[in-house]
Amino acid sequence: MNMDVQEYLPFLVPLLLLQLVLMLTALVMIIRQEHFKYLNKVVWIIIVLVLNIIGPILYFVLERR
Amino acid sequence: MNQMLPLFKKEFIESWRNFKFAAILIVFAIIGILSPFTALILPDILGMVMDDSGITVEIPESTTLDSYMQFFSNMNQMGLVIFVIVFGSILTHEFSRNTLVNLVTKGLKRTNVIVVKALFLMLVWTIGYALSALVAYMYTIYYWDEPVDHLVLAFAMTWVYGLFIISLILLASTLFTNSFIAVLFSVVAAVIVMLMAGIHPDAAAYLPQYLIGNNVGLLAGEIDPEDVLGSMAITAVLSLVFILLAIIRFKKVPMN
Repeated sequence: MNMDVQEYLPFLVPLLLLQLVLMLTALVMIIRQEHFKYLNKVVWIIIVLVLNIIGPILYFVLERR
Repeated sequence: MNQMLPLFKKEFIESWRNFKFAAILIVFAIIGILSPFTALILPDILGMVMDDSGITVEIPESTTLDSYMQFFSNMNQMGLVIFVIVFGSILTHEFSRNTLVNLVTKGLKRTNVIVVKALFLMLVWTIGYALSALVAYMYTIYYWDEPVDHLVLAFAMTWVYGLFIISLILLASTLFTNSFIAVLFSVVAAVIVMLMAGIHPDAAAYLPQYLIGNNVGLLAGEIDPEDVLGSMAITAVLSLVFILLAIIRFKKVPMN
């Protein structure tokens, strides 16, 4: 199994990096934002942390207009 | 023209500031990486499941076609859906925030608004899709390195379908003005109508839906490039007509 992970690194590293960029950007924006249209700061942070890709996308669509 | 450039810039800055542009690029890049990856690990996963349940079946190694099959199924479903969700509100949010009123009363031509929105969405879609296709292509030639026929045309099919979806977004936005949900539903409704019309075999080959159902069929040689052209031409014409209708309708939308 260890062997397999090595083999898949060319996929996993960029995938993780891209998801991280998405998540971190959303988190920074949430922390800086004062007023939310839906939900509140804590809930948005949880959503972004738990649902990867979909969480940040939801945040950008619903809160950033 | 001198009205369009600032408008275009405004769209670009707006989608850059709210991170939608970058987000869609990231999501499309993820689709581009994920698709060959799924194709690569699927036989391994199947093998493990088979071993656990004690079945011994020879699982064929994945091929270039599997990789593209994953790419097109991800792109045509997840990619397009996310694109519509992220950029579907491009016109409706102007209505709901009344941001266009000042510009239009100060002499901004309404036609330009739609044209610029359409061009901007096309640009975002083209860049995002090209990025995704390129990433998937690079991984695929690196891991499998088997040539396939008509690859560019297969990629172009989904691209043209995306343009069609963009025209649908704009037309629905001008019809329902400030309701993003109505835009989402009308795009979904249009797709469902096309799927139902596609049940009839004679009509199926001429519907836009044909484009995103047959990417892999084209690569595998099940259909010929000529078979695609009919539906491609119809989709392109429909997109133009929808954008024209959107312009005509937008000129009559009351704004206050």
